[in-house]
Amino acid sequence: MGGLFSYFRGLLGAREMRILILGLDGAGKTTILYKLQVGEVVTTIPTIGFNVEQVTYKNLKFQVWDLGGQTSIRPYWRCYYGNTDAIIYVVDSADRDRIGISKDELVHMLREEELANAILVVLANKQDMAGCLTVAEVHQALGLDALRDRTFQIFKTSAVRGEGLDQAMDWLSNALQARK
Amino acid sequence: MIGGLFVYNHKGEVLISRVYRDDIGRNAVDAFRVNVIHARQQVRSPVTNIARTSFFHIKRANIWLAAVTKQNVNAAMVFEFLLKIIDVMQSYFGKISEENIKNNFVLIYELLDEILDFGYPQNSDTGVLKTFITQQGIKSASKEEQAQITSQVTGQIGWRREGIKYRRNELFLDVLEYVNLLMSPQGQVLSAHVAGKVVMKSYLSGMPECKFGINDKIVMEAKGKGNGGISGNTDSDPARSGKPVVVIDDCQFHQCVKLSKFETEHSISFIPPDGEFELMRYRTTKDISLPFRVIPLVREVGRTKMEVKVVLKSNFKPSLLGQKIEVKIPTPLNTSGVQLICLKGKAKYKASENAIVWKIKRMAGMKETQLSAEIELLETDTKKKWTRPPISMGFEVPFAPSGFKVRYLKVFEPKLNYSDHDVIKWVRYIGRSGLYETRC
Amino acid sequence: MTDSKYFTTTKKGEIFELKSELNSDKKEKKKEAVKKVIASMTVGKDVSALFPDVVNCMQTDNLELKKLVYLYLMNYAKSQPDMAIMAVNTFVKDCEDSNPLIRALAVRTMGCIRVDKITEYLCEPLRKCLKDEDPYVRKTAAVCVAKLYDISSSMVEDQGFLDQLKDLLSDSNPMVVANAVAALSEINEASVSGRPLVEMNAPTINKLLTALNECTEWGQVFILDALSNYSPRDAREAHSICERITPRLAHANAAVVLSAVKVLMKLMEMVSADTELVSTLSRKLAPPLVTLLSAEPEVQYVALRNINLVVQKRPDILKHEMKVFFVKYNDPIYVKLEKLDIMIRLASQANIAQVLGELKEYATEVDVDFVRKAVRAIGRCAIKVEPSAERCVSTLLELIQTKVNYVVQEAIVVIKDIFRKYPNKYESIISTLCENLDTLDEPEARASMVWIVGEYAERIDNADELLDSFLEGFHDENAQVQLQLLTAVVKLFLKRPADTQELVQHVLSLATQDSDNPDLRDRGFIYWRLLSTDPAAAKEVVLADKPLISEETDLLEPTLLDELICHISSLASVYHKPPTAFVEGRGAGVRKSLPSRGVVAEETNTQQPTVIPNQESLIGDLLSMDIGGPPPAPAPSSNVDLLAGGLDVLLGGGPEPGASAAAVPGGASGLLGDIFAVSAAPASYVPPKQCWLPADKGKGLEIWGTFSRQNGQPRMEMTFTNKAMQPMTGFAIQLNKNSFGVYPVGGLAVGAVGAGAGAEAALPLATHGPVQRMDPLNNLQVAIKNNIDVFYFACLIPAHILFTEDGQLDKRVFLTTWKEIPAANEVQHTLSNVVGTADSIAQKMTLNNIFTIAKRNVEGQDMLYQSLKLTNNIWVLLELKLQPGNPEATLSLKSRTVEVATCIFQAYEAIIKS
Repeated sequence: MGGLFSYFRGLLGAREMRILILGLDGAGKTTILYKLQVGEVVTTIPTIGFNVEQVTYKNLKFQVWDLGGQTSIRPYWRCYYGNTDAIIYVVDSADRDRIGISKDELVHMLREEELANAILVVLANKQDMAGCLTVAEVHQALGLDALRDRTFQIFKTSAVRGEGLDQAMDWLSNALQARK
Repeated sequence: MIGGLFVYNHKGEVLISRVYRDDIGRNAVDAFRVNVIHARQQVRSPVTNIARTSFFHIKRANIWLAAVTKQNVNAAMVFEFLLKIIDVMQSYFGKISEENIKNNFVLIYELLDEILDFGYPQNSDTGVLKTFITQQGIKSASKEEQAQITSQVTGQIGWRREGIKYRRNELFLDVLEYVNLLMSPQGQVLSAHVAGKVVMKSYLSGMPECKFGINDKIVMEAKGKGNGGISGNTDSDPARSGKPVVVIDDCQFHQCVKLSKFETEHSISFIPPDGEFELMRYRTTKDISLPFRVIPLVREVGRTKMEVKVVLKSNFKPSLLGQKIEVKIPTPLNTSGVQLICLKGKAKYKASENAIVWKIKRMAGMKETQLSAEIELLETDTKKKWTRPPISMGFEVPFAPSGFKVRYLKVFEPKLNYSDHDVIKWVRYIGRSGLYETRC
Repeated sequence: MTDSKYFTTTKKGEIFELKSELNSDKKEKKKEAVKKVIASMTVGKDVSALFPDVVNCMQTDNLELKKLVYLYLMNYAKSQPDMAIMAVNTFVKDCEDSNPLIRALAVRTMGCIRVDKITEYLCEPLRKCLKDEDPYVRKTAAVCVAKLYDISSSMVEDQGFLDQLKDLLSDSNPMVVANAVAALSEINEASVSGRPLVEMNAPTINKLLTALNECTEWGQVFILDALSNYSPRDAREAHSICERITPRLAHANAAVVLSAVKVLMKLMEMVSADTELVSTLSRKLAPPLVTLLSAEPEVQYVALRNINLVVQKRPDILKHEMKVFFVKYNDPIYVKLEKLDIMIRLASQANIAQVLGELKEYATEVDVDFVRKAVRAIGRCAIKVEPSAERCVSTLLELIQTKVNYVVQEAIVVIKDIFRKYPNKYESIISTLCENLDTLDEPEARASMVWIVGEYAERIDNADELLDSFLEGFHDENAQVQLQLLTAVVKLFLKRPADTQELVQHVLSLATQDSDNPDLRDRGFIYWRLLSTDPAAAKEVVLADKPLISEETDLLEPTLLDELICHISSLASVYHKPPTAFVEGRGAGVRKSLPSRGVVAEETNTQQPTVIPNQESLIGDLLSMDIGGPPPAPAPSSNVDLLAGGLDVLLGGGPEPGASAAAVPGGASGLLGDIFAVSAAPASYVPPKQCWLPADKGKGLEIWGTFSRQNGQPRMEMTFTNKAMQPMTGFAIQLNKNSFGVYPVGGLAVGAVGAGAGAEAALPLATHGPVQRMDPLNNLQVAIKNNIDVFYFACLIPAHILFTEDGQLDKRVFLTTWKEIPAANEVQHTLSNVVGTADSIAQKMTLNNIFTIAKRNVEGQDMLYQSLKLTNNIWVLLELKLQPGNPEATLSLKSRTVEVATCIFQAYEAIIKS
């Protein structure tokens, strides 16, 4: 296994993995991006547009695109789908009102052909907030049970506390390597 | 303000197009091409108004540079700025040509973004621009370097950076004068003036303050009255010392010269840019010593022959040598042949220029020489008489025809450890022909 | 490295290929791709389809790539307004970058992205950048405020950016100040209300003057241009600004020099009382203006167009500099033509010989336009400089001998004018002119020749033959020539009726029966009717004395000239047209005018609270005109003023463009009045004529004169009597500069006055000429010239002819103004031998534009409150105390410019006694 693993790593090192962070506005996408990149919680303002950063996780290089989640920006997500290796879909677990919208956007997105091979990571974020949905509830609400032919996993996270992100990234790294 | 800038080649193809204002549409580019570049007749004005849009243009080599606006802009500023752009481009990549512009278009766009903002010209000093527009990206610059760049771009001494060091502090002054003359066939001076400039090359460390003294009448008088007592300078009063003074009609200075100081104290003080720059320009009209005199004699012998005799006299100290002397004698358009005899130098009839060109390499002062020519003409039926253009001449002499003299140039650098005496200074005087014409 | 290769890709599928390259992982490839995109953009290909892909390259640490992407964005954001929003976050981030160059780049570019949705996100970063620690960022942000104003003026006003911008005027960095002042000036000019949003005050001006010494050449231009819009409070402030600006005249940049000239020319108006300062400034202005002529030709051209204005406004400045305007053989044609124009303006007796020598030289050059202009210039010299006329005429004759077609034609056109200027002097050359009849093919030349033949028909033996030869091709002639032919033949007939009857009948029938041109037909019928009913009257009409032609031609109309002086160095000064003529919409800015000298800001304040006349009152005024009596004119306001100015422009300036303050009613009734010649209206007081020039001092010329005001225009009325033995001709008049800027409109319409004969002359006057304080204030120095000599005398202008029709103040305004004017500005005067009641006096005063605002009776005394306005906008408030039965009355006067009191009292007294 070890030999095989390093063989893949060598291959993968040649190309950056392209990852999109998506989700409704205010879900915590930008906070997650910079937590991953610089390891700190930075103050953010609503992202009108996008951020793109290089993130290195355990010697793997990712090119991570964080796209704004406002209604006006969502239509442009699809401009970024091409060549995407993985999607990190962020959900505000405390936003019970809009979990339905979040589901719709997710379902809509996953129908796109360009994303057929993309790995999906769902982050049930803001687990630190009182009265939030549990990870199971989020799983349920997004209708993830219905997903077919998709490598995916859901994690509970709190970006401000830095909880759960490592697990998610570990899983994602492995999944990406295993796919090759 | 300027709404847009376009650069075209001689065919009218766009090489650079930068629009700064919303009121300028894409069609403006074509309007200028159609109405000016492709216009049938000769350009009658450097400013053209087409459908309430004004175009300012200058043409250098085969390149058209046009600024366009829909507002009541400062026209003098637009032209000065266009000329400045030419300067900047030349100092970045040399000759203005289609090839060079195409090869540097990214650089040009970068420059245009920097020196013109919303149509308002910004700092366009090449020295400063070169510190941060390098085509290499500046992400690597340290924080201190960045701050230095911005303070320099916006600084009060926008033309010099700090921290310049030379092992040998040296400066060169060239007094360069262009003598302009229009003389009647009878030898009467119709108009004459000297357009002079002082070009300085400074290789000085630190932030040196310079004081420049000339034999200008006003400056000398002000000195004589003002602080003669303090300086104890005996030759400060031109009247008493009997030293020749020059009457300057008007002068203009490089932006480094403190103008308010010149106005009040008649002293020329400045912190020079590094390297070569034009310190001042001046104009004189009185007591100009005209280095050469052309005496033409034209005789029309019938309808097919003309005789021309031109006497050239040099009128300066015999010990000095005039150089690169060229006299251009226009000939009629229907000239069929020319026989030439000249006592000195070489003369040739150049059909392409419709002129006899007489070249003399060197000629000492107070000498005289002459050329005679027999011009054969083809018979023509054009009623219109040939209008004789003036005889023009070119030359270079090793003195300043206006009488302009540099009296001193003192350098002070309080922070660094060198004094005025340590600076090596070179002064040179050159007199050249401007438009030096004699009607015949 | 060469970039030219980017221009060469033109194959199909290019966009698709570029798209994939833009999305490449390799940075170099990406950058190459963006360069190709920019090259395509430059040559006009539409590469907007690549918008998302280019935007995605925005977040890069490669500055060169970032700049290219920004350049693309500025071009295409508008075509992709929705997608453009994806760029916002990057801008916001860049505005917070640690590198000031990137912060500035971001704020500079953001302002150029004109997409509404984006603009709202611009405010926060802009606010921060305006307070940035780095001056480079602040100076960029300052310009960005102007960009934002262009997109959304309300946003700039609502978000407090104006205040921030104003704060930057006090910035420690001169370049920030310069950009801030440029942005503010632009915003002020574009202001929707037409009123500047940020007013400059003395402390700000002081800061600007300090920054002027330290900023870049361009910054200096911005500051000087802003200064030219500022009106100093008083002459002292104007003086000090002049002093601080003069050093700029030695700057190497022509734009700095010309902008300084503009400010100085404007301020000279304000300090005109200080003649010494004015002459010092004039002396200092000449050399830098001359030096501009050694600049590059394009700059020279701008300079020459401006010098043309300066020479018209202040001829003294360059009067000794004729030589520098001599044309050089290699000057571009546009420089040559402009120089020629200025040469003619500067031509005077002192330099005429040289000028003529040059002009003759130019008349043999190659460029047709230039040659024509040179020939015309010779003619203009003849008219302008009388002693040179003979030389000019002989030069013109020499040129005619060259037989160069266009030279001959041009010469004939100008010779016609010379004949008119100097009647009975050069007619001997007519025969030479006639020799060239056949070569004339331009309408203007043909018409001129025909005019000459008709005018001097009695001296040309074969005039009838000549004219007859023209008639053969009558219908092929240009309308201008046809009209001249008609008139010339009629003239000939009136002079030689015996043998030309057939000819005149022929031409009349050609004009009335065979022509479609209504002008020609009408003129034909009028002549026909005149000739058939009253030949004497026909003679009077057709052969009447022609008015003198003026010396200076092509002069700009004075109000336009003043306006253009305020625009020196700008495009308006190049076109010699006001900005409204070539700038669309509000960009043209408010119409500028020179400061009225001596009258400072305070004076205009008194006008502010007055009302704008509504439509009704305007109509009322027009109607009341017939009934007589000056209408109760509504008080003026600045808005009306603008309107009146607009009318002037529409009406093409007219003979009397109206003093700048003339309100609509006055102007309108004046025009109509001229047309219908309302004479029934009771006239204003005209003092009896006085002897101004006794015959013994006038070498036989005696002049009696007085002043009047008719139809809103002051006039000088004179009776000339020739008590000498020889006829007097060539009358001309000149008024010296005076306190009220009075100057003659048009020339003196006095023809030849035979020995023992007399002539009446009425000279309309305008009141916005050059001003110089006289003592007494209403003193006027007059020079009258005729063929014998020039005579000088002085007379007093009765002040009431300078009272304007719009001098009525609103009651409340009167009251508050009276209170506001300090007691020190009150003067009292006792009138004796007053007859008449308060009402009759009020009526009399109204006729002379002294308006009664209110009447009260206090303790048996009648009090009249009256107001009047002088042509130079000085308001005067009066209170007249009358006691029935008492011949003495007390007149109290209040005005901010109390110096006028004496002459007002004199006028008042004269009117009351009339």
